[in-house]
Amino acid sequence: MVRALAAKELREAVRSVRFLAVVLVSLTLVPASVFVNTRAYEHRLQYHEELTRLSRAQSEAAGLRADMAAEAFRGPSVPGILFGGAEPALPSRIRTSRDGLFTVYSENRPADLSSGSGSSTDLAFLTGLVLSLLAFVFVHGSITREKEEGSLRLLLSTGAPRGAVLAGKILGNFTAFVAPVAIGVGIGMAVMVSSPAVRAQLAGQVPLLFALFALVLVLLFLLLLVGLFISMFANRSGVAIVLLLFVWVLLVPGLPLLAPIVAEIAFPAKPYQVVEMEKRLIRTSASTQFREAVDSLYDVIMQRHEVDMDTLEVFVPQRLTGKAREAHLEYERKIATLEAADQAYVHDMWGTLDSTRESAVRSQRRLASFITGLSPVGIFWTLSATLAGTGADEWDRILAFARDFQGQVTEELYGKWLVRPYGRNRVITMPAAGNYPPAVDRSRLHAVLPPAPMAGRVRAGLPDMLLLAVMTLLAGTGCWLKFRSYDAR
Amino acid sequence: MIEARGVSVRYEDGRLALNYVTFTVTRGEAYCLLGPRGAGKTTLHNVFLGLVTPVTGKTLINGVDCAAERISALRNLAILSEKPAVYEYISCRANLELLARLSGGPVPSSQELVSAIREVGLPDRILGSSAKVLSPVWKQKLLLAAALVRKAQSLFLDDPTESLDASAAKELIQELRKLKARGVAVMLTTHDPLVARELGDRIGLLDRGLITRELDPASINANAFQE
Repeated sequence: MVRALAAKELREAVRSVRFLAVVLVSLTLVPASVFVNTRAYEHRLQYHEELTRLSRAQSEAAGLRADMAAEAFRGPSVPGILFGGAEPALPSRIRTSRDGLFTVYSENRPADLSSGSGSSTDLAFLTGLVLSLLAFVFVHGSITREKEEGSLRLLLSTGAPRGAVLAGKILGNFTAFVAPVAIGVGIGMAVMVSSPAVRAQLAGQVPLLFALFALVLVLLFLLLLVGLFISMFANRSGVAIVLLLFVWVLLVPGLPLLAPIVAEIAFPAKPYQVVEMEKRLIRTSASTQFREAVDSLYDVIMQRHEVDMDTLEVFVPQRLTGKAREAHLEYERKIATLEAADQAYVHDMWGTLDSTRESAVRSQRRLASFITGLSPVGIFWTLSATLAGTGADEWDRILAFARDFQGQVTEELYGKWLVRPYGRNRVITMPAAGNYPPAVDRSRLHAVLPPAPMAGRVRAGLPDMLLLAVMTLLAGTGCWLKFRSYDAR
Repeated sequence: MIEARGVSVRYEDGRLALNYVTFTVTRGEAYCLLGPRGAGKTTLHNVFLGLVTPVTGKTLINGVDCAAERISALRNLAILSEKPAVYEYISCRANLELLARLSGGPVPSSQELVSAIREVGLPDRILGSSAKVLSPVWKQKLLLAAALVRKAQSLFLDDPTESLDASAAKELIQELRKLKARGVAVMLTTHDPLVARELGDRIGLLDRGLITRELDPASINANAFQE
C-alpha cells in the first residue's frame, strides 16, 4: 500500500514544475560548481606544492641566519571542493619570526567561521540555500493541494491507514526529490575524480565523501519532513507556501547569519589580526624600553671599567682580554637578566591578550553554535565543514600547529643564537652555547600540516549528528501526530 | 447498510453542526439528506469517513463502527464529492488500481478494469490516458468505476452533480441508479431538490444540523426546498 501511494506521489511529482526546478539545479548547478571548485583546488594545490618546495629548498640551502623566517604550509583538502566551509579564510601558510610572533596567511577573503556557511558556491552552499528552498516548495502542496482538490478525502475514504498514506507521501516525495540530486552529485563526483590532482589526494577520502553525501540526504529528508509538517497547518497551498517561505527565511539565511552577529554583540572579541597587531606593538614598545635600558647599562659598565668597545674594529667576545673581558662578562650577566625580564613581560602581555580573546571567542562559538543549532541547515553547514576539515575547529588546529611550529623553530634555530645589542651601533650574533655555527637540523625548519585525523573530526561532529537525528525524529513524529489528528471540520 | 445513531458534532466555536442525526440506509436503498449550504451535509460525510469526531452518537457501515474500526468500516465504501477528486497526473488505470489497493484489495486485472469502465459508460481507451483530460462527468464516472472495481457496498454522494451541467447530471444519475439497483446502499446529500427526487427513495430535510422531517420523493417539486 505504501509503495502504491509512493508511486502515485512520485508520478505526480515528476510531472510538476517543481521537479523540473530540482532537475535543473541538480544537473547544472551542482556539476558546474564542482567543476569550478575542482579547477580552483588544482590551482591551490599547485601553489601549495610550489611554495612548499621553495621553502624547503630555502631552509636547506647554506647560510642560515639567526633571524630568518621558517615557513609551514597547509594544503587544500579534497572534501573542501564540495564542502568548502571556512576554507577560504583558513590559513594556508605560517611564517615564524625570531620575536616569537608567527604570521598566518590566507588565500582569500575571510569567510564567516561561526555559521560555517563559507563563501564559495559549493555543494554545501547549494544544498543549504537552494535545495532547502526547493525541498519546501516541493512538499508544500503534497497535503494542502489534496485538501483543496478534495482528493485527500477520497484517499482517506478508502480506509487506507493514515500512517501508510503519510509514509507513501514522504517516500514518494523524497525519492522524486533525491533522484536528480543524486545524479547531479554523481556527475559532480565524476568531474572531480577526472582531475589527476584530486585522484592523487583521494586515498582514504572516499568513505568520507560518501558520508558527506549521506549527510546531504539526511538534511533533505529532514527538510521535506519539516516542509510537510508546516504545510499541514494550512488548508490552502498558497498559505502553505507563505508559511514555508517564512520558516525558510528564518532557518536558512536567518539563524545562521544572525548567530555570529548576536554572539559578537554578547561576547565582543577583538579580531585575530587586531590582537596580532597589538602583540607587535607590545613587542616594539618593550624592545624600545629594553634597548634604552641596555644602552644605559652598557654605558655604566663600560665607564666603570674604563673601556670603549665602540672603537674596536672587530668585536669577537672570545678574544677579549683584561678590562674589556671583565666588562664584557659583567655586561653579559646583567643583560641576560634584563632579557629574561623583557621576555617575561612580553609573554605575559601576549598571554593576557590571547586568553582574553580565546575566552571571548569560545563564548561566541558556544552561543553561535546554539543559535545555529536551531536551524537544520545551520547544523548541516557546521557539521559538513567539521567532517570535511574545513570548519571553525580547523582554524584552532592550524593555530595550535602554528604555535608548535614556532616553538620548534625557536628551539632549533632562534634559541641557538644570541642576538645582542652591544653599544649603540653594534648588534652581535653569537651561538648561545657551544661552537660557531650552532648545529641546526634544517628539516625542522619547514613543515606541512597533515589533514585532521578522521576519528577526531567524527568525534567533533558527533553532537551535531545527534542533533540532526533528533530533529529528524521530531519532524517525523510531528508529521505523524498532525496527520493522525487531521480533522476536516 | 449505513447507519447514523444520534450523531452530534460541534464546531470549535460551540455551535452545533449536527444535532442528533439518526437514520438507516439499507442495501439497494438511496437515502437523501436535502439541505442548503451550511446545513451540515459534508460534516455528516466526514463523520462517517473518520475526518470529524462527533461529540455524541456513532456511525456504522455494514454494522462496523466507523470510529472504532475505521479501516474495516471504510473498506467497502466509495465516495463521490461535489468536485470530482481524481488524481489528474496519473492515468485512469493508475487511479483505479490505486483506489483498489488502498482499500486493501488486490491489484485488479485489466479485464476487471475494462468491465468496470464499460459498465459506467466510459470508453476503454480512457484507461491509458491521463485523468486530467476527462470531463467532470467522466471523472465522476471514473470514481464510480473505482467503486465497482472495489465492489463497494455503500456509496456516499456529497452533491455529486454540483459541478456538472444538466445533461451531465442526468447522465450521472442514471449510472447511480444502476449502481443502486445492484444492491448498493446510497447516502446522498444535496441542496438540489431535483437530484434528491431523481435518486432518493427517502428524503430527510436537514436544517442547521437537524433532520426536521422526512419526505416522500414524489411529493417534491422544484419549489420544495424553498418551502
